Amino acid sequence: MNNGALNIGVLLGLVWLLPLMSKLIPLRNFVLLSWIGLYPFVGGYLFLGGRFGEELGLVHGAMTCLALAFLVILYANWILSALGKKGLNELFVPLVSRLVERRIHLFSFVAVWLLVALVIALGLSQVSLEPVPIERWGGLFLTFIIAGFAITMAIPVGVILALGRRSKLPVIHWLSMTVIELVRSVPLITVLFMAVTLLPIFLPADMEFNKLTQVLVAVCLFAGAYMAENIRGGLQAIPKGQYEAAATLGLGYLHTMVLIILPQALRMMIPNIMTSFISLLKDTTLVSIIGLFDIMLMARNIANDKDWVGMHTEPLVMISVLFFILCYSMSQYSLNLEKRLKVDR
Amino acid sequence: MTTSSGNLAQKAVTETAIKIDNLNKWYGDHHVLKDVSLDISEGEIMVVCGPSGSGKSTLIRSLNHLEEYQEGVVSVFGQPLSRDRQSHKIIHQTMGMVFQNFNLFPHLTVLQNCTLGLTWLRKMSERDADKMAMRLLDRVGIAHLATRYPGQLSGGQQQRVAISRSLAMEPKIMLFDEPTSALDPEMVKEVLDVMIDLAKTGMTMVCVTHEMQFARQVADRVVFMADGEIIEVGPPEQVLVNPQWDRTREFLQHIL
Ligand SMILES: Nc1ncnc2c1ncn2[C@@H]1O[C@H](COP(=O)(O)OP(=O)(O)OP(=O)(O)O)[C@@H](O)[C@H]1O
Ligand SMILES: [Mg+2]
Repeated sequence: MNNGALNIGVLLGLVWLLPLMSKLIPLRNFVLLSWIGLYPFVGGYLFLGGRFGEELGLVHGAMTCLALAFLVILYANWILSALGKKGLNELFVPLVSRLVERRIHLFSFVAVWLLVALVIALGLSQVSLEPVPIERWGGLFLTFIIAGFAITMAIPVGVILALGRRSKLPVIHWLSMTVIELVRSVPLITVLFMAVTLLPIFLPADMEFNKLTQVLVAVCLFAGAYMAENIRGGLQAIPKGQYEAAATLGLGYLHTMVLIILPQALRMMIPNIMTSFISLLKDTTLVSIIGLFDIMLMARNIANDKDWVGMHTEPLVMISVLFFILCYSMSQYSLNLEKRLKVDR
Repeated sequence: MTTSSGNLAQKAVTETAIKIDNLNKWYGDHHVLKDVSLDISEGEIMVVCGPSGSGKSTLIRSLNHLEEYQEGVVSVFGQPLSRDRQSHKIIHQTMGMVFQNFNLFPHLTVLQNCTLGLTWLRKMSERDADKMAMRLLDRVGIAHLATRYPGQLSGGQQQRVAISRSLAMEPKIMLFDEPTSALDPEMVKEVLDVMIDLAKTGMTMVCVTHEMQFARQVADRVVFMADGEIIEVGPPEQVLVNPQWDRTREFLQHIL
């Protein structure tokens, strides 16, 4: 495997989240959103390898450049604001203000963003990484990829489904409800099998996904449906007065939800959300059954290796310890988070 | 202290701020507002009182469309309101509201509660919004608590934050629905003092309250409601001291 690129990929993911700790960055919530929305493209590129722009496809390539450009701007702004200077995205404000009247800062940011992305695209087009076929992904890395994807997508998908279920528009309401109830009433293993065997039948013949993508979609849907019910519970616990106070200030539906209701609902549900995350992490071991080489299948194969014939217990014990450490630290983190947020109330 | 320092006395010409025309509302078969009509002038302080269940909250909440009503028209500064976007805009630009149980946003600091509307709706810069909110918090005497969360404040302090939050959007009319009813007696005065100050600035105010002392001191007119009807309207001396109707007299004996 292409270890250099892999390590850079993981490192970039962490580096992206680092600014969340700093008070100097404005709109820190967007950093988290950008990580969910943009980082997977960079990570995907670095994990897959290959010549940039050829194997990758146009959309993925473009998104990778945009994502890297965002990261560059994020760090540039961080450094500039630490030095007491104006942010990089303010660069074009004087120019843009001549062309448009409103949303000058937004347009300036977009202009700077596109420019940096273009520079990065030119740079990257010279790069060629050793390609790694997806079939060769395996082990703990694969477990982390699937669990990480499920955990990060669970909340956005869950929020959309939960709000959809509460919607007054019948089509959206019934659609969300059907998805939630259908997915929740079958075991994950069935959802996985359906994704791998049924999904290709429904899709047009020339549209071909690899197994991992199908599994990711299935896990994401599964996690989202459970999360939707958690979030709905939180939404129901918010008193009517909060909606009324928001309405009298003049906040519309989107503002009310994003600024007032969801932050409170999510906080209230932290213990339940963490429990879902922990069971998601453990559930991902099921993908070994449909033939993805995650850590469980690896362990089973060890026992078939001619050097270690019959070694069944040791790898399993090892995996148990590993999962215990992971899950225990997650639940400790959730307790810690709860304690910290309680101070607010 | 002055008695009945109404704003109307100093104002020569007044415009109608709110015109309520034959408002009717039913909850199923229950007729909760019966042909309510009332004009409120700009700068007027109107106190609404009456027994529990008489429809005071329903009336005041109909003004800013927190409640729907089946019949009648409410006009604000001459503009009749309906359920469309334009009407919503008028309501949010002209009316602020203070609730009985404060309804502050518990996950935001006092300052953030006040700046939320300014930064997200008015698109004010964070610095300008902070400055404006701090001025308002200073006016109600709690600037030193700006970084606290609502849960860390007393009821009286929370209600003063709620008033500042409403005032930040620069409304022309303030609606109060029993702003002191959820407070311990020793905190009632600090909130009433803020409301009296506000009345002196010429703000149009509609207050549902049982604080008769407040009514006597600042109200231009008092409305007495019972069973969804307006029984009596008039200056505080007339309605509170010398009521024309038995129901009013009975009610006043109860609460005084
Ligand atoms: N959601 C509702 N469904 C059915 N009836 C309601 C509802 N809300 C209020 N009512 C009824 O409408 C009438 C008027 O209620 P309203 O809350 O306006 O009274 P109020 O004068 O504000 O009383 P209070 O002094 O107790 O606040 C009451 O008889 C009440 O039972
Ligand atoms: Mg009431």
